[in-house]
Amino acid sequence: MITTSELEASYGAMDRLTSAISETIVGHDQVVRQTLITMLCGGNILLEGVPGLGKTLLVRTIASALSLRFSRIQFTPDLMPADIVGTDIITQDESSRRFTFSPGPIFANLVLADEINRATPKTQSALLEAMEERTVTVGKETYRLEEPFIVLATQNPIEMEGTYPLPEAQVDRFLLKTSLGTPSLDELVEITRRNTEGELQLPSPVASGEEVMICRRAVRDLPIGSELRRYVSRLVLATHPESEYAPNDVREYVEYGASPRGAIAVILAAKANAFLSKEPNVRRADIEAVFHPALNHRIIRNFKGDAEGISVESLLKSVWEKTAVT
Amino acid sequence: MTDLLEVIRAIERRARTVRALRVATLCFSVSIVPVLLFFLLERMRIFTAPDGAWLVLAVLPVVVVVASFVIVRGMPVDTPKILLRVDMMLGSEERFSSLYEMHQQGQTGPYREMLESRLRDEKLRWNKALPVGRIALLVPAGLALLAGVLVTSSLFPASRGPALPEVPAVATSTESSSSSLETEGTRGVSAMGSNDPSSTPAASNAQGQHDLQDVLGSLWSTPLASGVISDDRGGLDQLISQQQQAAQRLKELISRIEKRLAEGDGGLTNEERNALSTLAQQIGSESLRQALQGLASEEDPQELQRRLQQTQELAKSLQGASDSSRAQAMRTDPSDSSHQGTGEGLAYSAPMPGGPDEKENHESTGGGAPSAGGMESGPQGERLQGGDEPFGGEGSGDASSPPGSASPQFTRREIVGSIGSSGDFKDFVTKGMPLEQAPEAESGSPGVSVDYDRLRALLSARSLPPGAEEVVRRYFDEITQGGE
Repeated sequence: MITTSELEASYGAMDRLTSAISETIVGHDQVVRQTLITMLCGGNILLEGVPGLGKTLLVRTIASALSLRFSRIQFTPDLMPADIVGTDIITQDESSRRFTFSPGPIFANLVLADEINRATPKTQSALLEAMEERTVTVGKETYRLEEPFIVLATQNPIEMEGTYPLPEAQVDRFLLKTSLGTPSLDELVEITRRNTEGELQLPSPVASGEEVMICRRAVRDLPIGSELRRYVSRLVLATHPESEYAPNDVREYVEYGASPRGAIAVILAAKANAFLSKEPNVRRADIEAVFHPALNHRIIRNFKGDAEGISVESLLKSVWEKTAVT
Repeated sequence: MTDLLEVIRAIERRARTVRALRVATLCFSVSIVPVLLFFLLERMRIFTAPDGAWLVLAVLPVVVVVASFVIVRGMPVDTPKILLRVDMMLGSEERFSSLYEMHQQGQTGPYREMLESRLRDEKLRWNKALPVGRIALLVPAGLALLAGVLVTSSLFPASRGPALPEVPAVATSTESSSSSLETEGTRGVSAMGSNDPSSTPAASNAQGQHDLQDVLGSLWSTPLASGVISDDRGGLDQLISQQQQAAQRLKELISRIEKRLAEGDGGLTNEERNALSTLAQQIGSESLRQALQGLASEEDPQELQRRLQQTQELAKSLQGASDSSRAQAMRTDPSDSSHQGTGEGLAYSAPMPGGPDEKENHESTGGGAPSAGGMESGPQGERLQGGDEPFGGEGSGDASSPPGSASPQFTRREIVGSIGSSGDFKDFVTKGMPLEQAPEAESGSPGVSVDYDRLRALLSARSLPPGAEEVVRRYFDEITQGGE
């Protein structure tokens, strides 16, 4: 159970972290918040957006501010799994030769998987175990990844040629999926100023990995009412076309709804959102804030939905509006 | 924390109470429907409730309400759901429900302290979050009001309809008109009472009389049928007032003449003759008018003295009849169960002008007396429930037991006369009276008598079930439209 002092320390760490990030990143408040939520929940986030919006900068900034180990993997079609997780190599000393494990870039606290949909499914699946189990198996050996471990993957939504859409099983392992939009005029002016005057400074470390782990405990201790928990469960069930809670458009356009992992993601993310707001409990507003990013990559439309261009966002909106709280 | 837990318990109690209240009002709304249905069916005479049914129906909603309230109030509520609802209505950001959750799980720590602190700071008026609901209150209240109005209106028929204020006016008018008429010797009014063998003496008679007044009161307020009743109550009152003034002047004039004759002055002065002639024109009674005209033209002092005495006696007899009948009408004894007539009540007889001056115990309902042409045009097939004859149908009364002959207390008097120059006696007959053509009077003039005791008997014998007045009224309207 978190103590009062630990809670206060956690709040302090988050204040410092958000302040440091805002000094480097211009705009993208929601994305920054959702990235922090993912970190506080111990999950992974899928960032979607065209190149040049600052996805990589965001991840590097967070890593820099937290004094965590950061690695970046540029996914390409010829990228092999061993290029991610590492491989056994032969080492030779004076007396003998033996295989020793050489860790790949996955062995870091913050892993930026850039343009993850450009790699083959085989390579993409190399991330599955690391993202979910926090372990990596090479040969007969299994290696545990150091906590906190966060995968921040990006994908380009416009260049679909030569890409491999992420399999559903892998997408489901991302806690949130969020999109980076084009900055506003003022934000763009500020971005150009910071990047053209002097040298871009990444923030100094303001929080440690241990503090992040304390924050995670604080998030998990945050209370949520049993009725709200039931409400989240109804929301998730309502994404299933065969469910009694499903609205008509879900029944018509959805092939598969969100998994129980989706319900867990909503509640955990809502807790993290309440924690970042320094609220002592989860509110419906917290659920609403994370409902779309936590579920929009877990809904699979059917052929009719695809053909008619029904967006997952509109389906989730329908679910939210038509599901009663009590 | 204790105070917040108390608040949560209070919310639970209120939720149980509100739920019980809603269920109770719903049950009440459902249970009041049979009462209203029963009532309407009975009013429409589709169904007659057995004895005691009304008691059961009246008690049923109360029992249902109390039982449902007590049972539902004792049932547990889904506290987390109630608290979440309270949170949402108060905008307390789900703190009550979260605090309850922590309390249930025995959790302590900084979050609980923060929750309690914020709940205390916000000073929420949680009792506003659980309103009873207007519909839940208004619907049963409206039904209860409707039921109350309907049942009350059936219990107090005098309060029904637009004729409510007319009821006492009719009684007063009847009394005053009969009094004035008898003073003028133009009308006989007699109280005639008889008990219905099927009814309890006091209660049913009183109720019957009450119902009769209702009927007459209602009839007063209806559009007037031509020729049966004066269409101007103001005119009627004015006429009565004129007759009273004429009677007073006649009394003073006779007294003055007597006094002067007693002093030895012979004969009438021209002034007295003119006054007598004027009064003769004003008096409605034909016999009295003739007596006055004879008196005014008399020259012989002795004959004058004799005529004066006759006139005085005639006026006194008419006055006495008026007082007697008024007294009888006032003290009509409803407990006289020995009388086995067709009912009890007032019997007005209304001969046409030119008939006999006075006729004691006239059997206007005697067998074979033909009904007045217009009077018998009522619905022949429409009989009041349990009645022995229809109003004005064959005109056959119960000749074997005439109301007047059964008891000396109830006399039937029929006075034929005229009022004023036009002298329509019928002007003083309450609209809707069952009139019958009386046997020709001694003078050969036809008379129309009001068979009031038949009306009275029929109404009282049936104790006027709800809606019967309307039937009677409609019947009267129809028969009075047929003629005089």
